[in-house]
Amino acid sequence: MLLQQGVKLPLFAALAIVPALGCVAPRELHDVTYDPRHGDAGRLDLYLPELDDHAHATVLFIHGGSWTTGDKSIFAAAGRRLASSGFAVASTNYRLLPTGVFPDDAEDCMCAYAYLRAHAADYAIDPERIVVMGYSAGGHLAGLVGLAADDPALASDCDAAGGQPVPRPAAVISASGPQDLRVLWGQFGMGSTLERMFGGTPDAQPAAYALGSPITHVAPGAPPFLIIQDAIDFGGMVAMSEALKAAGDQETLLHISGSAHVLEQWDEPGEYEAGVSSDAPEAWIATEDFLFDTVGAP
Amino acid sequence: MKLAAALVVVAALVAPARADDGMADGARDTVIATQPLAAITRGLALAAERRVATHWSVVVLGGLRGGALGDYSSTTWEGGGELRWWLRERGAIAIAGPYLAAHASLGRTSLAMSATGAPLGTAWGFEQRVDVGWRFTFRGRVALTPSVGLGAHEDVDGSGRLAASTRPTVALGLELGCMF
Repeated sequence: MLLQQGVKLPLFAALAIVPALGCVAPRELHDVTYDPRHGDAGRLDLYLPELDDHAHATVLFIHGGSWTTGDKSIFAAAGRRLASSGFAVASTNYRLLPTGVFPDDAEDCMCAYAYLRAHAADYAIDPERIVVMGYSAGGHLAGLVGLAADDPALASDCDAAGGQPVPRPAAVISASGPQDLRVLWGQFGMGSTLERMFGGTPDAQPAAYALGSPITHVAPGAPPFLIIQDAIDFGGMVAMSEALKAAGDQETLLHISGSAHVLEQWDEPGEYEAGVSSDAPEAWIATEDFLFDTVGAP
Repeated sequence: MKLAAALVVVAALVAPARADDGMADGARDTVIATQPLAAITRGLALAAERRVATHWSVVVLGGLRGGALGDYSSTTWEGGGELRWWLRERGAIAIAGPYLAAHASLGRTSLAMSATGAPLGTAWGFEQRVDVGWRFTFRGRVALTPSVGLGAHEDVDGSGRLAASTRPTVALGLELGCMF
């Protein structure tokens, strides 16, 4: 009996200490279907904190890849880190070019967001504390979800959304995400990709480019934004920051010097590492502060 | 951290052995170097390298960077070391050509709001890698050393509100130095 207690006590102590260290492995649900009509593009991964009795603040990740490539698994490490910290996390796929032309990509992200809201009770998600975060093309789509989730013109006809606008998310983190695609069309050889996405140039399709550019949706009452910017301002990130501030919305801009979109400087000055700006130490601190400031403790 | 400790121990063990190891008379066995890309990205990096035995050298490195702009400001301090194994030695320049290295570093980044100076938090980064590099020498004194490394990077939140996280990393370095 004593021996049994001797074994159990350290075990219980360890079980008590491990959560305090934030070391609990999250529960992972892969390939959850949010829209069965689009195969893998209609699936998301979930990283959920340990089971408890309250609804968690949630981060919805949208991956990058110039709207043509990429996968929800890109955010696996970040998802596990946030879920181990108490946040519920979803990372979604969406339809990509060449078949997924605008607004398919935006509507899929709206649908994934609507799915999380509709199934909040199933996954212990607080539907009023969902933060949408994306990188590169995903940062653009995160901006659209943040500012236009309640715009009927971008409402998804998937089951979760039912063709109806949904309330805007609690906050948006857009990392290296272009916010004005009319500007991006003339930068970095992105013109041909955007012409496939919108069916022509900005001059030929002005309404589509405007609908697809988050900056055109800026108005008072927008959710709080954290914009993480590469060394180079592409696609109107600084203009978006200024527009949100001018509208009286809560916005902060983190410009990371030397960040080269997929090559970043972490802790070692001058050395470049393969990665994304949202994984830079400055970005993690800003993200943590922004999350706790906007949606509170997870 | 285990790798960093091992580097220190190995350096201490091999350092006394460097005096008589068959190196050519007058050979240059010391390099003071920087990462030039740090200078154009609001940073400064310095490294001191010393040959400690046949085929072996030890590097001590450090850096400082203020990478955050916009509504934020930041300060990053970094220190670390490398144990390099040179595949060949030639003439008066002993530490040139291809090498393999065990690399370890520790960095601390603090972030604040630029307008108010209000601190927002800190993050620690631990990195351990195996590097492959090649030192090119010019006029016997200028050393240009590109390298690529594979390893693991651990992020630790200073406040404890976020869990620690480890991820694989691929690092690219370009060192410019002077040999003595």
